[in-house]
Amino acid sequence: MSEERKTPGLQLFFDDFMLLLFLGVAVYAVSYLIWGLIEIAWLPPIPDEIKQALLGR
Amino acid sequence: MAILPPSEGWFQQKVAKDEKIWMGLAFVVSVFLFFWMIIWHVYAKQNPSFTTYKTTPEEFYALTEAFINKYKVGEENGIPVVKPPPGSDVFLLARQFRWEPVLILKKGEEYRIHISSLDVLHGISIQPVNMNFMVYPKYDYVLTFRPTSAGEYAIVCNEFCGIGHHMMIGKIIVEE
Repeated sequence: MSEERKTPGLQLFFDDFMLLLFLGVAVYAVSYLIWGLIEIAWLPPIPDEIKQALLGR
Repeated sequence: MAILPPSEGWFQQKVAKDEKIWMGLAFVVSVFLFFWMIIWHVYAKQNPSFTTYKTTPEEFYALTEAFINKYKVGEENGIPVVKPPPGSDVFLLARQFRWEPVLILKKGEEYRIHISSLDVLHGISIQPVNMNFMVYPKYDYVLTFRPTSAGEYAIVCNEFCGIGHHMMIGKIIVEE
């Protein structure tokens, strides 16, 4: 490749295998693990109607 | 990752026709599978509808006890037998090493079965229909459940939970 020709940004991205490796792990971690943790953290408690019907309070 | 880096200028090279066809086919298959996942869930009825609530072992125990006291119709080997009305919330408690109570349900009626554990991780396996779910402490897993055939169904624990794991057998009776 000639020196004056600029390497396209997308090629730089695809050529960086360590970055691809990082993204392969990071995308999975964010979309599955963190998503799952958020879901667990936001779980609602048992609705009051159900508790009242059985416990009467 | 390839062992050798691609040849110089690979980014500017034209993609061959057969490779484009393969990429197109892979894309179509993945889009199809994505939507099939949703269609299968709705129409195949393989995945049961469920909700999950946060709870504590103390709260779930109190609710199960209240549920048993409200609908108790007898006792079997020291385990209470309950017959809840159709459409109601049903509580099933897993603990080392028993399932309680024994449930009497009506065929064709819908129930919301709340399942949780008092101590460790258990697995509920309804046999012989072979429906399997995890039972976690601190989480109330609510299955919307409609028994479609009458008979006696065994509940076995399918997650090793301790020395008495093999004796952890419960029962669901479905009446006509």
